[in-house]
Amino acid sequence: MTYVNSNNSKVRRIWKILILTTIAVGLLVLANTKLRGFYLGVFLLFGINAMACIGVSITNSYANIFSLGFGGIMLVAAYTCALLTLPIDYKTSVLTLPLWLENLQVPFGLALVVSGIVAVLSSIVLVLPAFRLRGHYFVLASMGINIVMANLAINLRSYTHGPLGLRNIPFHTNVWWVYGLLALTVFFVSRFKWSKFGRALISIGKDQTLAATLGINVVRYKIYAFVIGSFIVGISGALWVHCTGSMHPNVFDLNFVFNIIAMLAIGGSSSITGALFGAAIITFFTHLARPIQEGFVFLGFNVPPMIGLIQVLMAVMVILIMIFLPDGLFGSGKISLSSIKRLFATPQVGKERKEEKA
Amino acid sequence: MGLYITQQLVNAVSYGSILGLLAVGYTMIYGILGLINFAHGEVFMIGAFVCYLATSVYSMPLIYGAALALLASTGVGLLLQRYVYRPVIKRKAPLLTVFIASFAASIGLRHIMMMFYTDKRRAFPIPQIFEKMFLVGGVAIGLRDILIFVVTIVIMSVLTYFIRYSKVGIGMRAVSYDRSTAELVGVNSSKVTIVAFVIGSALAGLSGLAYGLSFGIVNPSMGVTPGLTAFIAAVLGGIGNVTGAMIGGFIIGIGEVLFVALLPASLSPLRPLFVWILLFVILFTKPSGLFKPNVKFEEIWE
Amino acid sequence: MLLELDNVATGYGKAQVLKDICLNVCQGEIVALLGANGAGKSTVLRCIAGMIQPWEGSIKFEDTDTQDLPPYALVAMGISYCPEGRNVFANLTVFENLKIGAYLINDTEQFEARLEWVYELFPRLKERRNQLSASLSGGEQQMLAIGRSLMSNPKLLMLDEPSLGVAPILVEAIYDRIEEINTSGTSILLVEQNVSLALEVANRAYVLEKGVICLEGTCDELRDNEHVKASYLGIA
Repeated sequence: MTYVNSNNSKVRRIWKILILTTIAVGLLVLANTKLRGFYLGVFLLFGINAMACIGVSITNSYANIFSLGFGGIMLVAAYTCALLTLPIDYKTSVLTLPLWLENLQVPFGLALVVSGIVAVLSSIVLVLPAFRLRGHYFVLASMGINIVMANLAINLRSYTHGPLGLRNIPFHTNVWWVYGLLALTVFFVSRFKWSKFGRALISIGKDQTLAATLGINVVRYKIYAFVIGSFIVGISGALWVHCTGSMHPNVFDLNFVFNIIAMLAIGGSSSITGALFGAAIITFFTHLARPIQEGFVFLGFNVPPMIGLIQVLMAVMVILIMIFLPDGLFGSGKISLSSIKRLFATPQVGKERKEEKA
Repeated sequence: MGLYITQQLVNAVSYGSILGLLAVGYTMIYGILGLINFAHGEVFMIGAFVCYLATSVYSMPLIYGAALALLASTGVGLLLQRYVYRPVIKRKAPLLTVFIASFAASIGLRHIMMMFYTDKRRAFPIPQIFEKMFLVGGVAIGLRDILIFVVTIVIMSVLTYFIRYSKVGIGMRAVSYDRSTAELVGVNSSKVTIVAFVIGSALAGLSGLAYGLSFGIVNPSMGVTPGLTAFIAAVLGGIGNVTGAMIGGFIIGIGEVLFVALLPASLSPLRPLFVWILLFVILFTKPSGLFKPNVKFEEIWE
Repeated sequence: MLLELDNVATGYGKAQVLKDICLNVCQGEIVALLGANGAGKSTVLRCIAGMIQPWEGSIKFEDTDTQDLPPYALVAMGISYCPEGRNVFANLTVFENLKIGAYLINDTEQFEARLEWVYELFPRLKERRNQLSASLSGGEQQMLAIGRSLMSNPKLLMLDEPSLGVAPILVEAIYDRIEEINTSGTSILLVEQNVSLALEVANRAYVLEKGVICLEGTCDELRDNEHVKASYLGIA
């Protein structure tokens, strides 16, 4: 009996996946053909941000390594990818590179992989030593990485063209790259969440000391998670610069880092749904609401341009969410009744009980 | 060469005072609440900016500008305490949540100022009297530097006395060490927290004011780097330890200036790296800092 | 009646720890709260001290409702709680610890008088008054903790496991002092795992099991009680 049933549900699952994939591909084709310019850019940015969020969430929540250094890692990866794909004549004229690098121009896919690897290596070199610091000290050290990397980018002019940055980066990034890689990332991350490795990570994220007493080799798993997270994050950085076509040392600065943190804070950092929704909300809000900053007419009043309003609104949103819904809108799990109920719950459970009784 | 170094050291003293004042604020708030107020650098910026606005845009005399600066920075500090930190702590949020809220507050404050004033760097009006220089044995010492240093020393003495002997001061030390036990002996920890924020924010505002007078440039992002540097100074001095933070500020101020003075000119853009190198050295050699931390010594390493 | 708990229920987060707690302490009494580990004894004291709030019921001190007050307000009213674990302020000296115990006393004369009395009770503290409290032995720290909670001149002193982690000879000394503190006018609510010790000093006692009061009575009554004898005194 069960044998027949499991076969049935397997078939149904395969159908479900096929249908969803077809719809997704259809949507992507639609986006590719219909969206142009600005809107296409925002759409791509959403995918890239989502990927970065997932990468960051792996290190920050699953592995409990709250590092802000991903800005620096993305910077390194982005420069690497750019250097590998820039047209040779540009490189010769603007930079002073070792000959083998100067004459190299590789296909995008290879460049991505290499930059991912470079991201992993640099995060190992930079972040790992600070690895076992706790709490505030680690956050402080990781902030330093961003600053140090940006500083190096400004100073190593022969490689990076200093503060002026690189232009003419080929526009390799398109819908297929971004969403293909995003889909792969989501697929792998959701698979591994249920594997032994994934569950060990989740337990480390919840309570590290407890996990250690259960025999989980905390340090090793954290390193694995860190490596995976850095790889994903590095690739997303590379995708970004090939989307905008140029880069400079401050592309992934503290404001950018905050945007990603905001996405995770609002969406919820321990679930993929959370990362996706957070990235969606922030990306679409920041870019589509941008015109408000330029000044507009409201009820007959001339509202002057206020650059920075969007960031302020985001900051306020994040603070409110941290106060009332610290797990983000989608906490650790899909959107559910309990997460919405929590929106209206008072902080003290005791008080809740009192009201129930009354 | 010796004269050059001495000159640089003299210049570094006021920079060290500025960092020290900022670091003391950081360390006090950390001591009381166990959390880093990432928006502290922005409070510093607001002190400097308000004084700039008062003296440059509204043409008030410096003394009024300074008073307004202190009021503004204290006010912002209190707002942060009441509307960002208190609600988060009341709900017993984990470190991450508090940190993100703190980070958000920092970004928010910075961009509010940018909204109205853009990130353009503006010249901080420095009254003529501060330009006066004294020549002592070949080294030029400015009146401004002397003033900043003297004010800093006076404030530190008063503060140290206050923390050591006054009732509120002892209450603050008790709450830093063990909040719930302090409440059990009758210390009103909310009141003590507010006092810590007031003092810390006022010091940050003063520091910003001094920075404006020394470097002459203000802009909304001016608080980011000094904020982080001051935090490192606080760590260097032993987190929670007020005297330590001050000394840490001086060490970094003087160290940074020496670092740049001794480097070849081509490498001088590497100046910001000094503090980070120092931080890594501290964290790997003596993470608890130079002096005794004033909090139940939490594990820095695990 | 000095302290009155009426049908108090409370817990931590979603877990309920206490149910239907009714107890009282009269002026001049020593009341013991007994029970095994995890029965909820410390929770009762914490609730009275304002550290956690009761979900149900009321707590009255001198006929005033106190369940919504923060801990520092209760000190002002005359309740002093000495939690378990000897938590002295390790970063302060013995004298500074005592001084902060008198945080709410503004009168220097009163402070000096209290200090002298505590030094009389615990001469060792006087000897070590300028030492950092982190350098004291376990028993001395316990004395310091008790001394500190006496500095506010409380009407009701709540002691949580004063014998825990203290050398037996010092435990005797501490318990002698507890009697002395009581004779001088302070009522005491004592939580103790060491039942025989508690029954020696106290007038009355309550026995707490799994968050409910299962027995109460005078110490003589409880000493003869079969259940108490079997479960807590080890007498079959």
